[in-house]
Amino acid sequence: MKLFDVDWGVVLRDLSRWSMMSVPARALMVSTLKLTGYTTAAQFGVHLDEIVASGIPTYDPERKRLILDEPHRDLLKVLRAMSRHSLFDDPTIPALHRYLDEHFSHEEVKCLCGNPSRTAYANVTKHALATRVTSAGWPGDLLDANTDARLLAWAAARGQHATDAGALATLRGLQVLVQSLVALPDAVSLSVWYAALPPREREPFARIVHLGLRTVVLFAAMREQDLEPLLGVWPLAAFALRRPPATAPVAVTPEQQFGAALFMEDMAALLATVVSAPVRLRANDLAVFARTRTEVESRLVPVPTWAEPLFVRPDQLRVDRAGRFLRWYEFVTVESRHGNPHLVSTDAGAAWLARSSHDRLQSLLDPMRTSKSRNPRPMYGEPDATDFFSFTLPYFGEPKGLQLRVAITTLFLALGDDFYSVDTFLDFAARGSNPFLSMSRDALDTMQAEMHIGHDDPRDAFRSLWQNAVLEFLRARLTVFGCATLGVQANGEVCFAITDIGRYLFGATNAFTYGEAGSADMVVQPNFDIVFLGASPSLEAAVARAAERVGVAPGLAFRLTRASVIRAAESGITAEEILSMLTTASSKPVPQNVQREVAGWMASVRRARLRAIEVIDAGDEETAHRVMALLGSKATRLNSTFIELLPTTGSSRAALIKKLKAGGVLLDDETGRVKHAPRGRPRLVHRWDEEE
Amino acid sequence: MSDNPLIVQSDLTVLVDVSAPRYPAARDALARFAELVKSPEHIHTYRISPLSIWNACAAGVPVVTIVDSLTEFARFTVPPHVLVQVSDFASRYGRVRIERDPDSAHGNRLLVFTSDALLAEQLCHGKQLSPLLAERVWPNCFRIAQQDRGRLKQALIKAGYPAEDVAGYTTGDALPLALRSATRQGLPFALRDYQQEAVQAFHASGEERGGSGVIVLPCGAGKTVVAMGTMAAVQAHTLILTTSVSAVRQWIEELLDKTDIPEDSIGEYGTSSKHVRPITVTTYQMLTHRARSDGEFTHLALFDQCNWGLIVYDEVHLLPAPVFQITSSLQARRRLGLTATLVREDGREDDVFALIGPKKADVPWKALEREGWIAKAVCTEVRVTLPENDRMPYAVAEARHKFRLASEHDGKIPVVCNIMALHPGEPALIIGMYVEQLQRLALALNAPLITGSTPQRTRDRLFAEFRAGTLPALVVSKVANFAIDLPDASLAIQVSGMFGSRQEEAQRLGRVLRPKAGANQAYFYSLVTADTVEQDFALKRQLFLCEQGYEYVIRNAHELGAPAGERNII
Repeated sequence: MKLFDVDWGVVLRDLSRWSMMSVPARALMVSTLKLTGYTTAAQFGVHLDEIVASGIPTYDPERKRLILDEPHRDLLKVLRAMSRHSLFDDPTIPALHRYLDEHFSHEEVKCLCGNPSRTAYANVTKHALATRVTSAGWPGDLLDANTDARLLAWAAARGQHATDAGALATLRGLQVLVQSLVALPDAVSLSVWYAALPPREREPFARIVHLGLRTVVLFAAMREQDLEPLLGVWPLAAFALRRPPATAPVAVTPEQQFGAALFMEDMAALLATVVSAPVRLRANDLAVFARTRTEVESRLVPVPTWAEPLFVRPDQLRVDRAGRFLRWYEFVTVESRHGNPHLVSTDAGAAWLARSSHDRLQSLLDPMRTSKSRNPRPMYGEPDATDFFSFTLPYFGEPKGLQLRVAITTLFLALGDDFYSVDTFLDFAARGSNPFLSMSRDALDTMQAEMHIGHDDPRDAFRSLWQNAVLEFLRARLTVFGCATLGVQANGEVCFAITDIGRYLFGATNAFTYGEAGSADMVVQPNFDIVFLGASPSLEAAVARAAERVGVAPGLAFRLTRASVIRAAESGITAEEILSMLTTASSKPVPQNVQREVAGWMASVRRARLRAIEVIDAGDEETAHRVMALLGSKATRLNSTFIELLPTTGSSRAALIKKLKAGGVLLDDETGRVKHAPRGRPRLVHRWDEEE
Repeated sequence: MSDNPLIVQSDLTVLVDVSAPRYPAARDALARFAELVKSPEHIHTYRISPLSIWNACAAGVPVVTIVDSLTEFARFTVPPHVLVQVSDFASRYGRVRIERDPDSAHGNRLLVFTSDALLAEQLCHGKQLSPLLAERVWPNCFRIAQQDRGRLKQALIKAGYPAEDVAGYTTGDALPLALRSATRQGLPFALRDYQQEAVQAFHASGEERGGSGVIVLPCGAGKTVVAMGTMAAVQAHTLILTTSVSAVRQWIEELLDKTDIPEDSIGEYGTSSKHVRPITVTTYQMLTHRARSDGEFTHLALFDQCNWGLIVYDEVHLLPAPVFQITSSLQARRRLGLTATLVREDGREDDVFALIGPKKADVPWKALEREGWIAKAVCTEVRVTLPENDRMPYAVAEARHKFRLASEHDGKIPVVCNIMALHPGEPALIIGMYVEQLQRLALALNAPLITGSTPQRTRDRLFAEFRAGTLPALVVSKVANFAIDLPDASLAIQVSGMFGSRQEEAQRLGRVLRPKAGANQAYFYSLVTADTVEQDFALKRQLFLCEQGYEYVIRNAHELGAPAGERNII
C-alpha cells in the first residue's frame, strides 16, 4: 500500500480516534484487526472495549466479532504502513531503501531522480535517490524556490505538474510546512499538529501532506515507543538546514601545544642512520626491517596522542614514509650489497644532511612554494612530493575557472597568529568559504557528474569535498612541515595556528625561523657519553660511525663503547680519525681516559683472513716429501703430512695430478667428486667461496 | 653559548651543563625535584620521576616552582608533555592522607582521608586497595587497621597516589644516648652543620611530620654520624641494618667511638653471635637468610624482638625485597634510610618512598668538597704490562684463575715504588686483595703489613706511627674496607681490586677523601694489568668513578718511569 494512495483528509480526521487509544490497544489493532471481513473480538483481550470505543471498528450484530467500516479502512492502511518503517527511530539509508521499495515504483524513482531518459539498475537508482533525498539540498531546493515559477519547476522535476491555482497553493503550503518542520528538533505528532490547525486549514493540510509524501520531502512514520504517527523532514537534512550560517572561527586558547617540521625531521633521522651505515631493506617491498625501524623510531620526535590524527600516518609508517621521500628526492638510493638491497646515501643526501635544520626545511618548502599548480592534480596522475597540493581530485582535467590554490591560501592566511578550533574552521571552510559553492548550480551539477562524487545534492557533495581537501592540506602540507602548530583545549578539542613557516609556504613572507640558533655543540664525557648540546644531523652521522646511538639530540645522543670502536675499525676508520673527529667537534677537550681507551680498543683489533684452501693429506712424512719434490712451487708444506696446493685452474690441476701419478703418487681427488643425489641425478659438491 | 644549563629531554632526564654561567642556581633548583643519576665532568644527568616530584612535594616545593625552574633554566624549549607530566605527578601528592584515629582505643586504627569523594570511589575499587579500604566512615574517609598501614601506602603509591602519613609513631623503649665531644682517641668530635641539618630535617623535633625518610649524602660525608645524631635525638632502642659483616663491625666501632653508649648495650646479630641489645646491628643478608629457597626467613623475627624506637636502613638503595615486606608492618616505628643515591637497580624507589619515607636531606658532594669537608681526588689508572714469564700461564689458565694471575704478578711492585717516588712525603696506603702479593710489596717497600690476623695491639701501634708521620706507608689487606680506625691518607694505591664492586670502590676511595690540610688533595691509584680481564673489570670502576664526578686518568706504567720493555699498545 502506498502511503499517498489514500484520502489523507479522511485519515487525518480519523486520527483523533487513534490518539484516544492506549499503546497496547494501538499495537493490537494494527497487528490484529483485518481490513476486510471479521476479526474475532476475543483476540483483543482486555483492550476490546477500548478499541471499540475508538469507533474505528464496530461489533457485528452478535457482538462476537469486529468489523472495520469502509470509511476507516484508509486510516488503518496508513497506520499499518507507518508502523512498518520507523524512519525517525532509524534514519538510515537501508531503512529508506525499504521505504522507497514499498511506496515507489522503479519508474517513479527514476522520475524523482530527474533523469528519466537514463536507464539504470533499479538498485543504483534507488540508492541515488536515497542519497539525494537525505541531503540538505533536497528540501533545501524547495525552500530556495522563491518564485512561483521555481516552485512549479521544482514540482515538475519530481513528476508533479501543478495545473491550477489550487496545486500552486498546495506547493506554497508545502514550502511553509517544510520550513516549519526544519526548524523543529524532532518530527511532530501528526494528530497533534492536525488538531491544532484551524478547521479551514485542515483540508489543505491533507493535500500538502499528500504532496510532501509523493515528492519524498515529507516522511510519515510511527514512533516505535508509543506508536504515535509522526510527520517530519529527514532528520539529518533538517539538522543541516537548521544550522546557523557558518561564521568565521574565533580565536581559542590551547592548554598544550605541539609543532615540529616532522616530515623533515623524520627524513633527517633516517638519513643520519643511512649515512653512518647502509641500511638493509626487505627484498619484497624495499621497506626497512623491523629492528632498524624500531631503532629509528626511538629517535623520532614523539607526537602527542591528541595530535596524531592530524599527522598523516600513524607512527609505524613514519619511517617508511621518510624512506620513500628520501628516495623521491634522491637523497638515498637502493643498491645491492652482499646480494641484498640496501638503502645507501647519495652525495646529495649527505650534503642535505650537513645543512642546518632551517636550510633543510627550506629546501623542502621551496619547490612547493614555487610550484605552478593552481589546482590539485587529477586523480589518475601521480602525486608529486614537491607539488603545492598533497592530494588529487577526481577529475580528468582541471575545471575551468577553478582556483583552489588561491582559495586555500586565502582561507588560511585570513587567520592571524591565534589558534582556531580545527572543527570550527573546517565547518567554516565547507559552508562559509567554499570556492565550489560560488559556482553556478549547473556547473556544480556537471562537475559532480564528471567527478562521480556521489549522488547527493551537489552542494552537500562539494561541501564534503572541500572540507576533506582543506583537512588533507592541513595534515599533509601544514602540520608535517611545521607550517601549523597544533594545540589542544581544555575540553579536548584540537586547534591550530599558522606559523611563519606556513606563511612562507603561502608566499606571504620571504623568511622564517626554524631550529635552534647557534652552532651545534658537542661534549665527550669521561664516562664515554657523547652529549649534543644542539642538533646537528651531519655531526651525528659522523659520530654514529664510531659510537652507539643511545638518544636524540639535543641531549645524550651517543656512547663510545668497545663494540662501536671495533665496528668503526671494521669499516676502516682508524683511532686517529675517531679522536680527530671528536676533538674537532667537541667544545671541551676529549677526556684523557677516553682517548686512551679508544686508542687501546682500536689497538686490540686484529685482522685475519678466512679463505678456502686445497690440502693434500699425504698420510706420512715421506710421501709428503715426495709430493713437495714433484710439485715444487705449486705447493706449500703446512706440516709434516699436510701440503697446501696453491690455487690452480682446472687444466693445470689435471696436469699436477698427472705429474704426481707419474711420480708414483696417486691422488684421490675428493674435492670435485660427483655425488649421486636421489633418483640417480648427479650433482657437484661445491667448494666454499673464497673470501678476503 | 647559552647561559642556561638545562637540556630537558623527552624521557624526563635532564642534562646539566656545569660550565654554563647559571649552573649553580639551576642545580640548586633542580636538585629539589630531580635525582642526580650521574655527574661526570662536564654534563651531569638528573632524572625527573613521580618519586622525585613527590619527594619535592613532601618537602613543600610547589609545582609552579618546579615548572618555572625547568622553563627558566632550560637551554631549549622544554617538551610540552614534560611540563604536563610534572604537573600531573605533583597533582597526585597530598590527595591521600593517613592520620591517627582519635577514637581508636590503643592506637591500632588509622583514618585515611582523600581529597574528594570521587577519588575515594576510585581507590576503593582498586584491586589491591579495596580489601584494605573496606570500612568507609565518610564519603572520603576510610578506617584501616594499623598493621595495614605499610601495605596501604605501597598500594597507594602503585596506584599513583602517594600518601602523606602523619599518623605518628610508637615511642619504643627508651635508651639514653649522647654524642661524645671527643672520640676515644681524644680527637674533638661534633656534628658538622650539614649533618645537624640532616638530623633536624629527619627528626623534625619529634613531630609527626618527621620520623621517617631518607638522608642522601655522598661517600665520605658521614652518614653514620648522621644516624648517630638521629639516635641521640630519638633516644630509643635502635635496630641498624647494613650491607655486610664488615659494615656491621664498622658501625659498632663508630658507635663506641662517638657515643656514650656502653659496649654491652650494643649487639652484633650475625652468624657467629646473635646478641639482641638496645642497639642491635645486623645485615640484610642475615635477615633474609633461609634454609630453603621456599622456606621461612628465620631471622626476620628480630624486628619484633624488641620495642624498637628507630630502625636505621644503611645503604637503603640495596634493601632486598623481603625486608620491604617486613618493613610494611613496621610503619609505626621511626625509620631512617641512609644512602648515597636514591636510584635503585631494581626500580623499587617507590617502595623506599612508601615504606621508609620521602627524601629528607640531600647534600651534593661538590658542595662538601667546596666547603672542604671532603678532599678533592684524582683517580689514576696505571696500565701495567704482564711480565713475559706470566703471559703463557695467563693464556692457558682457566677463566676463574685469570683474574688472580693478572692482579697478583710482581710487575706491579716497581710501579708502586715509582708512584711513591712521585708523591714524597704523602702518607700512603697500599691496598690489595692477595696477602702473598702484599707480603712481597711490604718487603719491597720496607713498609709494615696489616692484615686481618695482625694483633690489635700491633695495629694500634702502627696506626699511631702512621698518623705521627714516622711511618710513610702502610700495606693493608681488605681490612681497609671496614677498619674504622684506619688512619687518614692522602695517597692510596690499589694493587688488586675486588672484581669491580662499585660500592666497595667508593668505600675505599672514601678512605682518602677525609679533608687534609693544605691543598686538600687526595690521590687514588689503581694498578691494572693491560689486556687482561683485570682491565675489563677496571672499566666498570672507571665508569663508576667518572659518573661520580672524579677526575679519571689512564697512564701506562712506563709514563711513570716504569722499567723498559713495556709494549706500546698505541
